[in-house]
Amino acid sequence: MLKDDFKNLLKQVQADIKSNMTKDDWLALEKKYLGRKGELNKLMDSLKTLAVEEKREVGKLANAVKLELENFFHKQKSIFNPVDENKTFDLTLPGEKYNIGHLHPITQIQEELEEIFASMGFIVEDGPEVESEYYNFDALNIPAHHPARDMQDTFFTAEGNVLRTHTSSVQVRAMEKYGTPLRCIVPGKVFRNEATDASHDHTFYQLEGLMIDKNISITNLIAVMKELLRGIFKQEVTVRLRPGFFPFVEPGFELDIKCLICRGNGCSVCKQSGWLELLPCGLIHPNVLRAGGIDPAEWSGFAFGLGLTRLVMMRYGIEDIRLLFGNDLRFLKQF
Amino acid sequence: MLVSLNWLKEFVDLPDNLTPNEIGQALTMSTVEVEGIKSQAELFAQMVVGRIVELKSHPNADNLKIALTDIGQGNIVQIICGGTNLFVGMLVAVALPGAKVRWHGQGDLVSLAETTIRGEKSFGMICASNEIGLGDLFPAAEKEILNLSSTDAKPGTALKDIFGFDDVILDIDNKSLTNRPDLWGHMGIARELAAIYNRPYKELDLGKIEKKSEQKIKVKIKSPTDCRRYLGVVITGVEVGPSPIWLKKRLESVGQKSINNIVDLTNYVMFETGQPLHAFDLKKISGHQIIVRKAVIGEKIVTLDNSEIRLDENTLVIADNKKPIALAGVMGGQESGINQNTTEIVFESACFNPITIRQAARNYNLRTDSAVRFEKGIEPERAEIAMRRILFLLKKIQPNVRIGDINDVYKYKNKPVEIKTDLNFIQNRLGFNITPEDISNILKRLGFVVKIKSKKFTIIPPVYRSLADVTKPEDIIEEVARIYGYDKFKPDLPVVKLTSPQKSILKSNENKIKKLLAYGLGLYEVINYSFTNEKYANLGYDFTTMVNIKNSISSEFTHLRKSLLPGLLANVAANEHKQKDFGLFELGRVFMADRLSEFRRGGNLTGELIWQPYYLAGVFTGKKEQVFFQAKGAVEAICNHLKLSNWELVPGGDDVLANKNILTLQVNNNIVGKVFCVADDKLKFFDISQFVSAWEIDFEALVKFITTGYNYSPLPKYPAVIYDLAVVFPQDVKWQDIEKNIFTASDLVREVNLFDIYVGDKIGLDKKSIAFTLTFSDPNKTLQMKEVEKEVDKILKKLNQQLQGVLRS
Repeated sequence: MLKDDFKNLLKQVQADIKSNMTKDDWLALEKKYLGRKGELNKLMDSLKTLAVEEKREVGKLANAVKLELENFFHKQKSIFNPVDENKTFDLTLPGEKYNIGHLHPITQIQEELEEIFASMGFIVEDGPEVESEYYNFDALNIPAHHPARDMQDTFFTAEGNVLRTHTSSVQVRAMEKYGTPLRCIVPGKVFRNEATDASHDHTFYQLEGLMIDKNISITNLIAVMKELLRGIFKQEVTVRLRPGFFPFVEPGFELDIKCLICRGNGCSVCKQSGWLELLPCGLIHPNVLRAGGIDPAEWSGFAFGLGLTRLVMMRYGIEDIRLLFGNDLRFLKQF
Repeated sequence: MLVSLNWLKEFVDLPDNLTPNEIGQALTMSTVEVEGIKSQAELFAQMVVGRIVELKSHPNADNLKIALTDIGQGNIVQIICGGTNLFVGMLVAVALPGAKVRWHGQGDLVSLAETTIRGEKSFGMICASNEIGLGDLFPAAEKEILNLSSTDAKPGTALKDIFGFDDVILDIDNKSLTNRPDLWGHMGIARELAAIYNRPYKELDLGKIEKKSEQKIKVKIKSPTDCRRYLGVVITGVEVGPSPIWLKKRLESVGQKSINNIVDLTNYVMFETGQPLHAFDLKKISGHQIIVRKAVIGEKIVTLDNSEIRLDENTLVIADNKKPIALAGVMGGQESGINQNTTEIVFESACFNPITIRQAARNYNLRTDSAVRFEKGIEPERAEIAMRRILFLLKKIQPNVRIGDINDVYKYKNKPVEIKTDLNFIQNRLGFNITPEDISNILKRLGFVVKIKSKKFTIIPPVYRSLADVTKPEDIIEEVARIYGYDKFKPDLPVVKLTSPQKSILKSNENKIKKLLAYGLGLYEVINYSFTNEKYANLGYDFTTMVNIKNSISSEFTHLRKSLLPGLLANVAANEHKQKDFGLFELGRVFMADRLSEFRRGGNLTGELIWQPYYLAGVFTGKKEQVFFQAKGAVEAICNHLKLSNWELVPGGDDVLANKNILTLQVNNNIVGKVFCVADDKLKFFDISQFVSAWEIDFEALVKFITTGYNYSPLPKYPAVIYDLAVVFPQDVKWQDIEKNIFTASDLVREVNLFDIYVGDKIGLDKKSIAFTLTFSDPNKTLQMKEVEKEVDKILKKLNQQLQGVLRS
């Protein structure tokens, strides 16, 4: 039977092998079996005579035998030409171009921050972008007609709500939802009715942070901020705290870091001051705790706001904020 | 706000060795942010007095002269000048190369260089007063050069020395002053510096007022909640004219133009004390009577800036017995203002309700220096101090004026604020053990009265801090901390209970899906603005259900998006000429005005906010058929990656952007998304030349169907058998039906994978040949070829009966 003939072919080859064969001997032997008029092709020719279904089965076997023989001879020949293979192709040709996409740089930095905070026990919370005046202002100790409302130019919707001007709008929502103790961050989109230029946009990203527990102090705030900044910048950073006014904290601070580019000697990035304003923060105002149903006599906490967009720009040296929402693929491709 | 260091020094003796930078730094670290420090001397760098030795006409220009000028130390230089008042021997201000001047007093400062003007060399410039920022001090006609001959200065003398421009100006960030009404003048800033450096603070010189006239202005406050205190005084024998140089220079140094001596004095005292003042012409006050009242609808006033304002009934005005004569606390009226002929005046110093003033300033868009100060809430006591100060200064510059009785209407006085707190609280919030003495010393330096009794504090803040800024124990923490110095605080990590943070189902799947789409499927993530506009109504969107922005920034951004797709299509249009065949996606909120979310509006507000779910959407560009299946594949990948069960893509559905090739994504029979080809006319709208497919999913709805946890399927014990088939079907047969019939025909089929579709004349033009691979296996035994062939027969038979499929030979 033809099937057996194919199987026997392998045995025949084995029988033909002698000791001390030269390279030419191997070539001759290969030709005998795999040459155009070799033993294998002879058997292949007889496949035609079989019925369709038999052809399928035997054909499969024939292919397997052919493959085995080819491998066998290839191996034997390579003993005589060990480096041959490496010399035969141009290693400098470009590698295969895999199509790998790109996450937006804001997404990448946001995820990095979420991981840092998660490792410190912070919940990642989210809130509405069309927000009520209550959560955006009143609950944060910014009553109507207070000059502090001018600190943020606000978009109003026709039905009387606002586009949140800061992620701080989620502070009281989070207090109501989780109670105490609380550690949470809120990354997200915020809106300001401001003219656009290279460093201002009407839309940008912030990350709000909140920690409420027993006896939280200013020295606690400084320590957590330093820890966080070490996580972000992957190095020890020098910080300084100075007074800053935000109605939802008391006392309120601006936290500056020593410029990482000039190490505090003064450069164009820090406007020669040696310091970069990075993080407004403070102890949560008792009125805000009360709005969140928390007793300020029993609990205290701190809040801070990170300019996520600014951080992205600092990280990658992006000088024009408008590139971030321009969605030019030549820009996005770089991240 | 600009602050003059020389002015501050009138109130406090700062240590001698301090540099302006150090003072700025100290204020930044303890009080308010100093944004910039400018030395006046720098503005006059490279500027000297010159003497004109010889004047020649310019050979190539009729209007120019060649002035040979002595600039000191025997140097005589040639300068080209177009001034009309030049003469030999005149002393002039020469700006040498390197100096910064303002051409003709307009535009930005430019740096001078040696140059050639119409063929003649010019070494610097002979300046007019407005070219070197002295236009206010020395008003001049056009083309008139500043004549310094009266100074008798030696040529070569630095210009700054002649005028005593030795001041340093601090620029303070107004935002950091929002909560500190006491700091809106030099007095307040000086008080802070005195506290920071622990130096004595010199009170304002108020002198003694000698009454010389019996004239008195009648004052009636009809709206006491809007005006708590009003002081008015009549002064006669006033001569209105230019201010003395010291006054002009002071105002100039903080950026205020000089107007006339009376108005300048009101401004001076405002910059000094933070209390805005106003001066009226007595003759223009009908009935010599001041009435503080709300405006009546229909009343009008022409303000000092010469604009007519129609008043509403909420606006507080200063009126006489006939009509409004000033917008209270915001701006005076033109008619009652001071002019050259005024001889009798009324000074006003008042305390207005901050909210009233703020609303008026906003309503009429008049953010004046006065309104900005009043809206912060100035204590009523300051009105009296400012009034006494301006009378003292007026007497100083015009000793002959006759001052009448001050009419002081002040009915509702504040009770002093008393804050009670204890050492424990202060130490806990600061985070270290500060001593009671340190606390007490710091507070006393800031003007607080402090009583301590067995670690309990009773603290009375000074009246200028007690209205809003310092009212509760937390405010005391801030005062102590900032003067103690934040640089002395040692970081201390909080001790808290260890908890593992929970993550919402949305948050925990967001990054997972973004990574799948970017790193798995090769798409670009974009972030678009959330805004859209009515131009998109042409696409078919119903704008009545969109959120409308009342004060939009431009006509481009009037509404909030309710789909991510228009933004993505705009991205395609912007990028398609730079890159071929790409896919984009975005995850973000969309907004729908016709439905409510679960977000409560909170507080006293009833109801919920509008529906604003996170959507996930994407587009592919390229060849028609292929892009559709890329989009479909993306949606399938998402569902599979989230391990959703019971989902399917059903033909049909609708989207304003779609043509008829559209599928709807259903999970547990809920519609959560769609995949479609973008219709040609919509592509044209965006000016896109390629084919585009799109998909959009309500991501918040989708993640709700994720079930936590699933079990793996055990690996098959027996090998599978692979079998390829090519079957010819009529053109209109759907793959979905072929697949379904294969599975119903055989229980042993595990997988069906399509690998080729052939259409061509070899099989007849109304036919298509579908080639696919079948995978068979039996959980209980190794399948024999014969058994597989039996299954294949069953399948072929079924395909033939149901779909007229015939094995391709």
